[in-house]
Amino acid sequence: MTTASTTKIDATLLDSDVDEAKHLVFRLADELYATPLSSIREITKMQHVKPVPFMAPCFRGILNLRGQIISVVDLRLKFDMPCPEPNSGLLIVVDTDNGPIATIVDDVVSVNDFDQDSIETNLALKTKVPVEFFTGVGHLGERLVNIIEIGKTLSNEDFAIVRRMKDQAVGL
Amino acid sequence: MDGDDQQMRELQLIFIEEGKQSLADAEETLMALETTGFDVELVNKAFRLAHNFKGSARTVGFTELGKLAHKYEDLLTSIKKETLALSPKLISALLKCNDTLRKELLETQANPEYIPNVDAAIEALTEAASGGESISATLSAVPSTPEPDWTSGFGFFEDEAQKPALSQPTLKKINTPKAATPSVADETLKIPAQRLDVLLNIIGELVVNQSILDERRAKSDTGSPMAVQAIGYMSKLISDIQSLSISLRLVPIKPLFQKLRRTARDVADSLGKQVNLVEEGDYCELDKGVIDRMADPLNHMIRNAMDHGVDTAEERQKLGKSPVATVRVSALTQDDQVKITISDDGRGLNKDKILEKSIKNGLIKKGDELTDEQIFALIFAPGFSTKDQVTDVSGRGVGMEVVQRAVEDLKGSIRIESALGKGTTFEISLPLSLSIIGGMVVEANGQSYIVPVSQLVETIELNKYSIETVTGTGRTLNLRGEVLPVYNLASILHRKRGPVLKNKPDKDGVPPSRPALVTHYRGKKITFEVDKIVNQQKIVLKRLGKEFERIPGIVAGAVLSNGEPGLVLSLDQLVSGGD
Repeated sequence: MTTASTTKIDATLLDSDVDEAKHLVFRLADELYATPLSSIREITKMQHVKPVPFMAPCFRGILNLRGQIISVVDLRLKFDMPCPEPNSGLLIVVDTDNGPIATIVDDVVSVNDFDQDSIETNLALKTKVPVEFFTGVGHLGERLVNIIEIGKTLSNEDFAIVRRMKDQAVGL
Repeated sequence: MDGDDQQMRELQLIFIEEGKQSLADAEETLMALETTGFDVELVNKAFRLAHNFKGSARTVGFTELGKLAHKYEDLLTSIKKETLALSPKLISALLKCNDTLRKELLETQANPEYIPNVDAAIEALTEAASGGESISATLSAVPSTPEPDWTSGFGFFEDEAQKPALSQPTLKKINTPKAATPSVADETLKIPAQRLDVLLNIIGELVVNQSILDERRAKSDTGSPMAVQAIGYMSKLISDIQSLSISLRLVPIKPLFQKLRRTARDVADSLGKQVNLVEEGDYCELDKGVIDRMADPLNHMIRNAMDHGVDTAEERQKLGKSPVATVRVSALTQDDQVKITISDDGRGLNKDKILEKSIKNGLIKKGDELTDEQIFALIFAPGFSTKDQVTDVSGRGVGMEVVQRAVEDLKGSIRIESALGKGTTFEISLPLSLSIIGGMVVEANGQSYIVPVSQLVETIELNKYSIETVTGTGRTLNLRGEVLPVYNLASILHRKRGPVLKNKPDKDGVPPSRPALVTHYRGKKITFEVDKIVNQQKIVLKRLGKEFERIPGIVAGAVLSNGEPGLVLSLDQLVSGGD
């Protein structure tokens, strides 16, 4: 027992050491976004996503990732951005408080360090990301990058659009 | 904690598991003693169990538990030597002591730093042995006296464990029965060694066949009869492993039945009712998760049956029934389902009373027309209780809703039959395994969905029936004299109005097939029109994300045999909308 818990603590220390500044930069339409690398489980190419009823449009459906059923959310639709083709883009699998969720992004750009100090947080911006998950804006060369907490954005969202179907079901 | 402590904790956990079993056995023995009267064999058995429990408890450092077990053993010795007469009162005291030991055991399992408190129980036993009159009063006060004897706690935790144990939260925990529920990580399972042997044998065979295949591949000869045979054999072995691995999680229902028997006994005792409890099918096996989840609800149902269902001897005699009531608990395995039935020959459900109460509570409106089964289903509504007076026995704030919730969580169903004055029967159907089910793959609006076969009554071809459209009620069809509403799966799931497939004949004049599923819904049958019935598959259920939690009708995910993800539907939830 003792050994197990010690290892765990060590691993957490190690993780936060390495990952705090590392961010994954990805593209949605023509905007750049970044999110802490620690919350990313994997990046995979687009695959067959099966649509699911009763869900908001940005909830694209579910996919079979090596035997695990994972929900897929299209970030472009979630942030009200143009979305050329439903099957374009890449899948980023994110660890959220509610388990893994795959998100569709247009492209993955790079992995970059964004120190806490270099992120501008005092911005009077109107963003599509809820303000509590919007960390700030960072610089990547000439460009500005929106830094978000992608895991939190996804786990707090309620994707269900239909919860009671009684009225609807009767009389069909 | 250093290595020694860790090792000791492991030993303790083993003892806890074994101890639970000994206590269950002891309980069974005591109850047998109650029915047979004094029997040397039985007393000896109880004595041995208590003795072993005491010894093991001391070995792993549970001094307090050992102390109580010692007292328990003392009493049994006196009974054995016949210096103490075996009375129902004495058995009750021993049973309560058994309960205390189990409760303390569970506490120690949940919290390694917990120090059992057994003084009150020891006192109660002493009093019972001396023939004191106030046995039950003293015993019922056992849990509420957390005055632990710190100096005699179990030795090896002394330096580090005592401080936190003294603090307020831990003391509070003592009084919370919930805290005794062990976490999933601590859960252990007793598996018959023979099953593991079979599993190892099969895996050995699998390895042999794999090497055959490897060799063929090395020779680029994978099409040879030998390789084909090996592949065929392997797929049989894999399906064997699958069914065997499910059986590893299956445990007999007997201990649960035993618990129910104990509850029935205690409740009958306190209500002064004469009840004969009949158990059938206690050899049935169920997934451990199902048994754990159903233990409390079933216990509640037994209490209910004893309290509300069973009538008093006078009432029974007036109706010309035998004064001793019968409560029957049975389990029956059928395909991949287990049916648990609890029935009594008591009062039966009073429909008028249920309706009156439901109208008062706003569950239904006056003038609503309900079938018998719909009326009975009302007792599952939150906060429902037909008993005018809340009794100590079953009125503990948990209603029949708890039962229904548990059954629904386990993807099961529950049916009630009742006749006034004759009795009530509850029939609970539960899946044998939580992970693999028989699934019917159907298509709706171009998407495939899975419906558990257990929910289906039959599949029918709608072209063979005439479908009537009744304004206000929707479409109905007449199935062998029964009028069933017709729903369209695609319409419900994809909110498209009207049937997706039109009943138009193809170029040869043959109308396209319009298959439909017939399922139970609140005691009635309903039909679901689907676009296509694909096939029947064994479905491995997969957990879906939290996003799906509040969506009624979608209960799990699955990977279909073509590798595509699929959704498992619950048809009745789709119609009820999760009410």
